[in-house]
Amino acid sequence: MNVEVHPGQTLAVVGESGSGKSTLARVITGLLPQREGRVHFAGRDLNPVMRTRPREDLRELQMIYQMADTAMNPRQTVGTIIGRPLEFYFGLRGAEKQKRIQELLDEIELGKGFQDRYPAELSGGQKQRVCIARALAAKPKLIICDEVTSALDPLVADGILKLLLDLQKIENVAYLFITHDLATVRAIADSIAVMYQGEVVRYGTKTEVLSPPFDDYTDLLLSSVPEMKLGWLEDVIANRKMESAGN
Amino acid sequence: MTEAFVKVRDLKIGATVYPPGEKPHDIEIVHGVSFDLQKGKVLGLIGESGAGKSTIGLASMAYGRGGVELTGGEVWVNGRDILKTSKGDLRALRGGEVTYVSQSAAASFNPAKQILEQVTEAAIRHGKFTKAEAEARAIVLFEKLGLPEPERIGRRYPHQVSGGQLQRCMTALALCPEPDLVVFDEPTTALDVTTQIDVLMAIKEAIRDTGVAALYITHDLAVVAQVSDDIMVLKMGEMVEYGSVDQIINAPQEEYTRALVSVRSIDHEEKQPTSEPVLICENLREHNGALQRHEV
Repeated sequence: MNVEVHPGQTLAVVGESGSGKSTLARVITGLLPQREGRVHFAGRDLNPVMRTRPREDLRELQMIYQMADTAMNPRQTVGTIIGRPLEFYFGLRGAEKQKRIQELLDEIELGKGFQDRYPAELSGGQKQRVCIARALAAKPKLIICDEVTSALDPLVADGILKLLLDLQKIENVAYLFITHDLATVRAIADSIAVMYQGEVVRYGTKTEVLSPPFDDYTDLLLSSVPEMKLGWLEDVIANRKMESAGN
Repeated sequence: MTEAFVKVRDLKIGATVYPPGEKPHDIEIVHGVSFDLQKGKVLGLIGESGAGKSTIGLASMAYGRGGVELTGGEVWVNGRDILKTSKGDLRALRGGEVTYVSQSAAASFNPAKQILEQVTEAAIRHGKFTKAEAEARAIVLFEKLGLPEPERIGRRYPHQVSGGQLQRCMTALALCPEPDLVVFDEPTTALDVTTQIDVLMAIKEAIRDTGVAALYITHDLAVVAQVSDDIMVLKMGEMVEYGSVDQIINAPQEEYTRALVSVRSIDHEEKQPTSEPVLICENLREHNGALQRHEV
């Protein structure tokens, strides 16, 4: 099966532990060279091995990780962290670079003064915002987001999702959004790929994927997400017992 | 109404902080929390990171993590204030009368010992049961918790069962000594949703069948709504709202509670696919040694 991501849109890749979501991300980024198949990106085929990709390929395909903590050098300030891709990809220096850093900090809704802070002085949500700014600094066509809200408190995670949606509108950047959380999928996806044991078992627009008839796995997955409703647990278990008795 | 079985009154907890460039000083992290809990009932503690959920959970066992001090209030369990008991008595209390289920079963079990030995250890050590009695009880609990082969699963080592099964084993461990109070601290948070649902049901039924009082700590309101009778919403060490599960979910009074209830309801209109995708993955296949094969 093939999957596609469209400019300015989000493909959510959803699945449980071991389904191959992160492996997919590592194959696309070239961290894990694929054995077969093809990754076609922005009109060209990507080399399977990251080391051999031209700088332009690296720039246009950025990644944000689950643990913002370990994705940043603790001894660099926020300004240095965001400034690095500006130098590396665009050769920006001095005042020009400072101006762009400030623009990016404004975009991620962190005010003045954050430039000189160290990651340890930021909250979890702020750290993830800095990682978003660093990815945006490269002006990518696609950002792979690997469980970027999973380690955050629900209300903070909502803030990050809203920010990502706003930035997508402004920058027309595409997201490949890896998550195990279906509420997050509903909030952000235009299309969805459901993965199970290393395979895409269901793929289509958000409406298609989340509308019946379901395949067995998607049905199990969707019906297992706790709802803010009293008695939900008993209802689901009773339904499943009835169905298995019916079979 | 009878006297509450677990009664927490005006619990205050302090901690020492070490801000960079400043002298270490003491701050209060839980500011006078009170609640009641009856036998066979579940109180859900809900809130975000730093709300004090786990700190309060551990304080209910008269325990404070490193640098944390229980500075005031009372914790009554079965007629005595456990904050006033001696160290020796506390040792008898923890693991026997009050027990704990943590988020990571994998990090809690000793990988070198069989599950049954670990599940029965506290019950035997606290003199609650003989070895034979404790093992018989463990098998009953394994069955109640829906574990496969309840007679034999205890002979396995922790790495020989799945994550969801090990979490149920830890629940059996906590229930084995017939405790008065069990503190569940995010017991399903690390599990996949399709696993979580069965573990939740197992925990719920085990609490009901054993008639133990339980504190259930989680950041997920939809989860706590399934297992709790009452819910307390906490924020920054302070009680925001405390009521029946029905009231908290269906008629939240406080704005913060309403925000938690309506979390993840971002409205996102789906966009139509364009003619020129930016990324196309075709028949990708990755071989990771001989162990896994991922196909897309």
